[in-house]
Amino acid sequence: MKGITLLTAVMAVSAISAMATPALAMRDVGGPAGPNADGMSLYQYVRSAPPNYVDSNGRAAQVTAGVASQSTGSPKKGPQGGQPPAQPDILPEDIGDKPETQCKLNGVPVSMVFNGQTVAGNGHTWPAVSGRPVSEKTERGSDVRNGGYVHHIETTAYALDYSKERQKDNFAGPAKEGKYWIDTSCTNSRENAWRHSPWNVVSHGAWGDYSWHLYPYETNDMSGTKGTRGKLFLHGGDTPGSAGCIDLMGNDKSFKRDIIDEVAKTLKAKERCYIDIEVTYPEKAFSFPVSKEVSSLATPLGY
Amino acid sequence: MLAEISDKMLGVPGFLAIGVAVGLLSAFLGWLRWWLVLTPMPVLGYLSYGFLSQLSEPDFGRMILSELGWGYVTASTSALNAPYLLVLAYFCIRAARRRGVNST
Repeated sequence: MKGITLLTAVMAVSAISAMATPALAMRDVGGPAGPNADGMSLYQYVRSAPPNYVDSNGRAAQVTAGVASQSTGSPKKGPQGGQPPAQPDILPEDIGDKPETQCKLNGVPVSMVFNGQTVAGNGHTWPAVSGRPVSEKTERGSDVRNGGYVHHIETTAYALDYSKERQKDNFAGPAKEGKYWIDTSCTNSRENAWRHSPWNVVSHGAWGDYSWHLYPYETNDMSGTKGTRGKLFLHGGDTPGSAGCIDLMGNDKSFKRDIIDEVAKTLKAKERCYIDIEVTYPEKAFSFPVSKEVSSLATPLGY
Repeated sequence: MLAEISDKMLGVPGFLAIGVAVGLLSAFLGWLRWWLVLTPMPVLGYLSYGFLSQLSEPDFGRMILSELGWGYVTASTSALNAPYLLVLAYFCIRAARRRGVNST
């Protein structure tokens, strides 16, 4: 019994030290960028890979121009005179291997438009959002009593900001305006991706059942994004909002059924095609309401 | 700071919380019957396999390593498994000692 008590104590101390906050230990304050900026350790610098990264402002690692140029075959250019090299806005590995042909349904090329509220194209429309909501306001509807329970509708209005400035916010803003493409033969699902497995209670809710990598066109104006905005997905999920991906929320299943599966029927074995997705936003920000029914046990006081 | 895909990835503290919970459960089970300490092994094996399999996903594995690095992968796997392995080691040592006492 003493042994188990000791083990429990050791594990508890380990857990507390790993999750320690500045209030508990000053050593966990770290750099100005906060946790996970350059790796797991708060004091890790340029992801422990100084030949590959520079950190010009002390906030986050940026790929050196030399590393970025290696995959394009151009001569390596290192930092000169202490000046950090220019950060590419789209990394070469994020461009992807685009299929030669565009997908067609009933003879019509498949292309989608994402306007911040919906993904629409080829006669279909799916509600979708991108970026982290700037605010959430929840309103509670009137209570309805039913037996021993109280039911009400809770509506949360997610306010989203699609301004040009917000689009440059690498870790919270929406996908940058421009043209992207997805490869219909590369659908991530429970068959090939653990993050989509319904057994993965940790991230299934965030990723949904399906996702597709959003490859940016090289012609996109990705200025100011420091090479991170090429790592976005079109995906499902149960909570509106993302770090920049286009979030179809619960509509990934119908997108797969109506577009991806239909396109697959038109293709021969091992044939590939792409779908264009144009991202263009309205000028003003808007709010996106999501409602859900909440039920609770009724008490003598009413709730 | 969250990156483009890692906002949907469980952090190391989250993995550690799961690991500690499984470790405590297995310690309790082992206290009831020593062989019951083996029962969480398939669960942890599945979770570890699922987590590490993400590295072999096209594009996604590269993104994880690019944004979070190998440090995140090793720390998460360790955080998930270390508490259970500690408990398992404790019961193995205890069983070995008891066998030693009985044989003398």
